[in-house]
Amino acid sequence: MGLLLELDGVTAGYGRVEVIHDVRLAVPSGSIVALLGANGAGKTTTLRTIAGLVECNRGSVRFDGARIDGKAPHEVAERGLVLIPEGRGIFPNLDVRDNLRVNADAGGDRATSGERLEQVLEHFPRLAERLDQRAGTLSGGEQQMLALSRAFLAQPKLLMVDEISMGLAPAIVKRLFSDLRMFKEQGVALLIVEQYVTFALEMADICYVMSHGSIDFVGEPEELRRSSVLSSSYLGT
Amino acid sequence: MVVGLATSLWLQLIVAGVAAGAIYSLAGMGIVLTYRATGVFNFAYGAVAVLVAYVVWQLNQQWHVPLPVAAIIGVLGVGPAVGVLLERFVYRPLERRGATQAERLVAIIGVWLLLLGMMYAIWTGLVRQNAPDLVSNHALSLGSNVHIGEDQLAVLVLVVVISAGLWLMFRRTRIGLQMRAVVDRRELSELAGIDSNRVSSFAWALGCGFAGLAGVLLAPLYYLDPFHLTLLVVFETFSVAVVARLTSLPIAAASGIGLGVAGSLLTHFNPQVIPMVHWHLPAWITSVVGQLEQNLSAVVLVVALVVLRRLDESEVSTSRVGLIANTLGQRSRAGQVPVLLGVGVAGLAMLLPWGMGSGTIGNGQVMLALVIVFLSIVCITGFCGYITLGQAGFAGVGAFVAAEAANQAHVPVVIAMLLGGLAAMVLGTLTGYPVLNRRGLLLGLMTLAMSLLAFSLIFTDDLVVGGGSISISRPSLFGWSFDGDHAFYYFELVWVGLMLLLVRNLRQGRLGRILGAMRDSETAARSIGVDLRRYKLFIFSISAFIAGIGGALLAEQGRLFNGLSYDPLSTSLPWFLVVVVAGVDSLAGAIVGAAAFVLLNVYLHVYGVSDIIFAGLALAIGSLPGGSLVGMGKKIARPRELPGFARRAWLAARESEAGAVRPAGSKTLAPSAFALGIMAEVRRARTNGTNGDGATGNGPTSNGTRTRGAATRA
Repeated sequence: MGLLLELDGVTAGYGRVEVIHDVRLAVPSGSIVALLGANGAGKTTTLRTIAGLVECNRGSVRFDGARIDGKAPHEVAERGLVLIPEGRGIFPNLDVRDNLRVNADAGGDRATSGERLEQVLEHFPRLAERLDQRAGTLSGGEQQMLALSRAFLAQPKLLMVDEISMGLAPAIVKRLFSDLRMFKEQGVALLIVEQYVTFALEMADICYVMSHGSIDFVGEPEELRRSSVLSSSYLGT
Repeated sequence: MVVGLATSLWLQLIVAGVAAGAIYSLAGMGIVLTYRATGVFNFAYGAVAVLVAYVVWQLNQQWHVPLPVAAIIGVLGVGPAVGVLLERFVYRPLERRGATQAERLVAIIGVWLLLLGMMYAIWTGLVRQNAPDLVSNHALSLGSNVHIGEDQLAVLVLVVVISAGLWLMFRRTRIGLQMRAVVDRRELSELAGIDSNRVSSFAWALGCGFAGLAGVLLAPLYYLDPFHLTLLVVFETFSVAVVARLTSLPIAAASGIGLGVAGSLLTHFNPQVIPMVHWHLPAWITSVVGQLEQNLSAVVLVVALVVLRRLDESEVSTSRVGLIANTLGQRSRAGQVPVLLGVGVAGLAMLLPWGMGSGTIGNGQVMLALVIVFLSIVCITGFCGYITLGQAGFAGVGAFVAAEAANQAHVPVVIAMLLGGLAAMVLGTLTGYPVLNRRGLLLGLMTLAMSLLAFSLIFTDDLVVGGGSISISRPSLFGWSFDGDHAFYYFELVWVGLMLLLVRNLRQGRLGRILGAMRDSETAARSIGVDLRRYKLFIFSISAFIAGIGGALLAEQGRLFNGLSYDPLSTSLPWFLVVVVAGVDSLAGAIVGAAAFVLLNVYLHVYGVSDIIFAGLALAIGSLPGGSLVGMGKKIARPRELPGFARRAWLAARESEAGAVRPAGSKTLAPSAFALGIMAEVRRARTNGTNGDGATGNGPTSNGTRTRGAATRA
């Protein structure tokens, strides 16, 4: 399997404050990669650096064979690398229909995007009922469904998801994770940052563990379960 | 028949009002458009309008370019180009830095001043020119005795077409959807593949195009004159935009026309007798109606700000959100350093008058009075974070009441000054009370509107201030006269000392912490039990009192109260700008600001140049190391906080002097010491990763993350 995304020695941060140091990370095509670690370990910054929201100070980010570090976020998105950011990946003051349209316009041709829109509304009938509602008035779960739908309509090659479970009930989280699997069935690679470690480990092909801005561990979920890296990373021992 | 005549008169008035209002609709829609698309209230709007009108005038009247061509170059070329430049060089850097609302406001006021200064500089002596009519004003008849000019009709059609077009653009087109997405969540829209810079650029170009169109259409109705035409555009447009809650294009269109009609009816309607019922009205109502007509837009603005619900800035990305009062710690430390410096400045101020000519000492006197006025800005904007754009109003009321009390009631001048301060305090409370739940831009607009009302109802009203000015004598106390230049200088110096003490005490102890908490986060302050309304009112009235005292001193200095020198735009806004540039969160900022203001205005006689310099500083404020002149001075005094290269060089030089990093046996060569200094600095930055000057004063660093004063302590 070829590597879809490859980070080599990436160092980035905000202003003069360096947050992630020398990060090496790879996502093979069509696989699910989980990025785990305690709060403040630098997971979100890593995703934001890949997406172009945070400037990459050193190292390189390659996506689909081309370097994308230094590219503007919208250019990265156009190449098929989509990030659902932390919090809610929706436009709260736009209605649901416009939320879906923003993306449909951004990528792909009209015929397939129309088809995909129908698929989305079939899959999430609750969104179909609320097309004219302001997205900010949806429930937390519905908002994440909308975020996933937007990502689906963007027809990504790689989808990065930053804590989709944040502030949601476990039952809803389970549902969202099964929706995420569907992306994999479509051949989309996933890079997931998640606090629900069990869910993440169940899904992932490869796991990375970060602490203090560096990668501590790379391996398969089984290996990670056996080792003490995870507990020490979260508990700081 | 009498009724028939009246009806056609009414109709004619309404038609004229609709036509006049249509231009305001156009202008209002432009400002709403920019606000909706970028979250910036374009204060420079009026200046852009007038600039385009001037360019068209220059092309047509001076260079004999045919009018249609000139108009097209102006409205479709110059206006949008100015918009694109503003977006690229003013708005985008602010957005990238996550600047606060106050910083954005200062930058855009800077642009306004810059454009105004440029216009004065280029077209000095050519003010008050007749601008060309775009469309002939040949009258068309609309039935019995009702006429409309062709130009008026053209504007009306234009407004209808454009508002429909804009509505369609926002609802139906891709760029419209993208604009709404960018305003809603800029970062997310970038992640969705939208080039947000291009979208903002387009919105600014469109908004400034509208401004230009409004300017070109308005100019022939009045005179071309940088200041007064700007004033006109500003207040009419702002009130239209606020009535439209800054968001609704259809309401902006309708309220512009409404404003025009109301104005037109009030102009020609003098209600001595109510028609039909024939009630005779007392004379004061007539004069009130007359005043209302003169100040309709300011009154509408005030009423809208007070009355309208849901008029919040929720759609603007305010970076000061969160529950942590994040600059409190830094603030209290800041006060400790400059004791020596303070003594030095005080000593200098005492000695200054000796050896000065009377002209120079006059400048010194003006400066001291301005220090007091500027302190009033420091305590409200610097300490509490509330934007005030109406300080000239408070200063003017202080001066006016002091002069009246001394002249009419023969109160001793010192007492009269205090009365003036109290009167300003009352006005401050009146301004603050109705808008207690607002902050940021809307509060700023409220103070600006109140200051305009004070200006036109009191300062420039012939009945109140006969002939435009009142004389006022300098004070005397216990038989001592402060009439002499030196005596008055020291009299002022005592006041400056008192006010410095007063303002300094405001930020000490519990009160200071509460005000600081309010500045950083109203939510956080409320959650620890601060009664926001009480403290807000308190700070408003104190600030107005100080401004009133300063204004009274300013008038006594010239022995004259002249209403024109307290006008809302050309006085209040530059004052605010200068204080922010000098350092709005410190007492030194008021002093440095007043000194800079007086020096520049005195020694640069060329029209507009001092404006351009202040504007340049305001636009550069984000790039100044400490965020202001005073901040920069502090950083130079403490080299650890200087940015990159300068700091390293300084450290290297110092360390080589102390021999701290001199390798054994080697001779101290400056270059090697310099290199070693750099290496040591790099090593230090590596080892404790957070050490560095990420903490830039009290502003957020990029991306909204803030680091607390780690660097200050390091």
